[in-house]
Amino acid sequence: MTEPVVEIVDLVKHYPVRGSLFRKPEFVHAVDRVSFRLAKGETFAVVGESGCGKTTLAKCLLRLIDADSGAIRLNGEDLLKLDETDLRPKRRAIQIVFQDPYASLDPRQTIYQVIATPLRLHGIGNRKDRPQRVADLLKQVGIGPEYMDRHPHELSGGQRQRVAIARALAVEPEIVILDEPVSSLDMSIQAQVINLLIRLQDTFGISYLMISHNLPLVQHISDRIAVMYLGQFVEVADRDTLKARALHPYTQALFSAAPELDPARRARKKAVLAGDLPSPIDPPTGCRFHTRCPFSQERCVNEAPELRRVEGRDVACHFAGEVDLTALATDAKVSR
Amino acid sequence: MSRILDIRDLTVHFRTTKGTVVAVDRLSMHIDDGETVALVGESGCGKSTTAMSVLRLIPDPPGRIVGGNILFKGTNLLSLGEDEIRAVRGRRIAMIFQDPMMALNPVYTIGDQIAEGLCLHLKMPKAKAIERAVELLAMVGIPEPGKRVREYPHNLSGGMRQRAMIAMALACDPKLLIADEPTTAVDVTVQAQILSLLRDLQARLGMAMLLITHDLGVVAEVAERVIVMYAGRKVEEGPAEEVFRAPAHPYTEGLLASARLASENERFLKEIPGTVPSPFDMPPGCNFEPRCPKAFGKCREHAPALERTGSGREVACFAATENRP
Amino acid sequence: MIGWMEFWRLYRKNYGAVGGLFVLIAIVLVAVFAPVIYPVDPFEMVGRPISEPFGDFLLGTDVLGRDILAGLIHGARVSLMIGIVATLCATLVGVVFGALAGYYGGHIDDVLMRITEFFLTIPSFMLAILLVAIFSPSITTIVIAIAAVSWPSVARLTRAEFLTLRDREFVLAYRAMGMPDWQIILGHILPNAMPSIVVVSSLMVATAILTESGLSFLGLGDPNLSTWGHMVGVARGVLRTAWWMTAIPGLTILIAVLAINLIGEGLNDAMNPHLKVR
Repeated sequence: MTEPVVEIVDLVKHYPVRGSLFRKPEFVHAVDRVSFRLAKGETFAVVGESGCGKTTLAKCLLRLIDADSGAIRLNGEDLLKLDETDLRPKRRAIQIVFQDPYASLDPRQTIYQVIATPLRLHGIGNRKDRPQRVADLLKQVGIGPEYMDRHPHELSGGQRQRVAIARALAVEPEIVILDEPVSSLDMSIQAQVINLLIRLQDTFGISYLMISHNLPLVQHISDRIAVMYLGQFVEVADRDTLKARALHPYTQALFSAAPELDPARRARKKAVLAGDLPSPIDPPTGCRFHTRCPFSQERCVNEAPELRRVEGRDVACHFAGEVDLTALATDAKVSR
Repeated sequence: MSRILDIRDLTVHFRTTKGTVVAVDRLSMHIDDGETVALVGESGCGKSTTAMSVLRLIPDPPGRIVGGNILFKGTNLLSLGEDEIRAVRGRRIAMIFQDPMMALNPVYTIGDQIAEGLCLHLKMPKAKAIERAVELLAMVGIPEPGKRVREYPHNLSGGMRQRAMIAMALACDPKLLIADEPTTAVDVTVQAQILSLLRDLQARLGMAMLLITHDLGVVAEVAERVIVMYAGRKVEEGPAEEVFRAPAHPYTEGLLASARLASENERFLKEIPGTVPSPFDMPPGCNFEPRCPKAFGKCREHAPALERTGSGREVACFAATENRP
Repeated sequence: MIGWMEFWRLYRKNYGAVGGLFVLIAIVLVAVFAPVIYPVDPFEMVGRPISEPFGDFLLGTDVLGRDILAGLIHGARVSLMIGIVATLCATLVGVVFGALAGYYGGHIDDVLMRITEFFLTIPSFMLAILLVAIFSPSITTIVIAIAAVSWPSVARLTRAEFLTLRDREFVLAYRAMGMPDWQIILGHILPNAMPSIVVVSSLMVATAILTESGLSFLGLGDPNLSTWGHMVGVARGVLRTAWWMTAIPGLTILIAVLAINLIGEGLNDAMNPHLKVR
């Protein structure tokens, strides 16, 4: 790709677990050497289930928490090396829209204040033109000016999420992190908000980092997708490449698990992944997925696979291309 | 095929500071022995309220069942006394909820909680109840059930807690299981496990199930019949496959279109414009009219009644029943 | 956040709170207009000592012949003032400690909380007596002593509120926006924590008045001021014969403290409505 807007290199974040006097300190391996790039106007999705580290990744990018090691290069400059004063103006470039539209808006502020706060903070516009700027931003997301004096609790979930999007756009960011932006919304509203996000991307050329557990949705709007498991990327591919065929067994399981509306596709064999997510405090040796993988061999227990190029995408599996979870399914049960 | 649950004209009101909300408006539906019926709709449609009404779990105040009957194997649950309805809860009709962490008591072991129902309803001695609890945990697919039975909810993962809750619900062999958004709070791979488990258990135990959900995919995976609700009213009913193949009500159509992500050529998802009406400001005619692409004059003035359009098929829509294009 | 109309509507649902409000307003008015309505010096001997109420003097006279009613009225001024000022000081200190501890966590939290807990382990009334005794009783030392024993509970509450609010998404959004910490703490988290803090503070006024009364009763009050507690203390010796001399000021303390407690409850209902009905 041409010069990426942001480049993350080998990001690591381990949370210390508060140990007692009698136990040696343990760490939650939240993010373990994650790398990727994001180009202008691109939508890059990180898909995974709870505990995979995607939210921690987002917080590291925003420097809401500090990564242990690695680099976050925004237009070439490593954000992790900056101190707070130098970082502040750069924060405009990366913004976030959270999952819970209620918790993400200050209940005490009016909608006008919610949007005006970032404008004022970064000195965008002046006191005279601010009301107009706020009105324009709200209009972009489909909220009329009559809502400016209202408080968040007077708006519906979908409307609050739109306001949250407008707030993120207020500082003219280059990247917006979307952390499960529609999971809390009704289905009919989800489509509205997703369409809004697509339109805004067309208008402003923003890059999206979309974090989600909803693989079909992510398939629809992303350009590239990374599947994350226990702090690591296990497969990174273009949307179409992944749709044609998923190589990593975990990715295959995710696709298989998505509930299917179409009866024809539903009749096809379904692989149900057994077992539970291992604890991120003590992740499995070698390939972290080996405890739930029906194809695991001795090599998988001892040797951690690196991401390597197979069939046009990056995948971390010793047997990528040779294994297919769905082929194992009989009556939809793969037991361990 | 006998009816195990027969709800007739159920109406539930909620008193709020701003007025009375009609949460459920004259809902009628039934479930046959061993059948799975899904109640589908978005927030505020009244599906959870309906489920809670069956076991009379609606807090009063502010809620109140103001009309209708709920017949369980012929007995009207709404006319039972407190002791009698308590004998039904957990024994003949069981319920599982969305968040297992909320439904499980953190200070009791899993075994104790499952055994509680057995001791209470079936008067089983404690030791025997714990044995049965181990059997139940094995039935729901929890590995090492003998060990797990002595553990606390926080020792278990989300998926296992959900299974434990199912085990608790099935302890006394109920004939009807009400599942209120059982997989909404869990990851997609766990959801697949739970749905598979529910299908499996149903087949083995011959139990009927009322599934409450907003996820059409879940409905397609598990339910035989589906009832679509909007703003307190039933708008469509029918066999799940048929309704999904050929929806009659524009709302169902819209929901399906939103859920079925657009094909590769279309960038934008199909939306239903507008939002669910505020319960204090319901449209005078059909509840869905302001958002409906097929609405015409009559829809604004009259609320359409449910009409049978085939065997087991019902729809409340003038556009559908008057064969307008 | 909630408008005044909404606030009043929720508040007035609690009849006790409304009653308490009226009582307190009455007390405040009396205290404010004391020199105008009843310009009798509570320290002046105006009549026969230990005379009964409803005689020459509405509430009788104390052991030295001073007018009890005058004592009550002027006592109201002192008690209320001490109560309010001490509470304000305690709240200020407590909020600062709690906010910093709750927001920053880590070592700052550890240090601040150890200091707070130190104060909490000492029985508050004992500490108050100690402080006043060491620094000799005066209105200043009393206010400081009461503030010194009251601030820890405000600190704990504020810290709890900040811990909850700090991880809320809207605070994360402010941080992601680049808002400086002090602005987030003062302008955005604190206002959201205010409802709980206000409720606790209002109840603290009552406790402050009680503490002050206790100190005065023991003779540790400001010797130049006549307070309710002081009046109760002075009348200790004649408890058997002139019971009204202790009962009347004692009852006044009871009524004032009760009124303030009820107001605190009403404030809680009005400001934290989400805690009540679901």
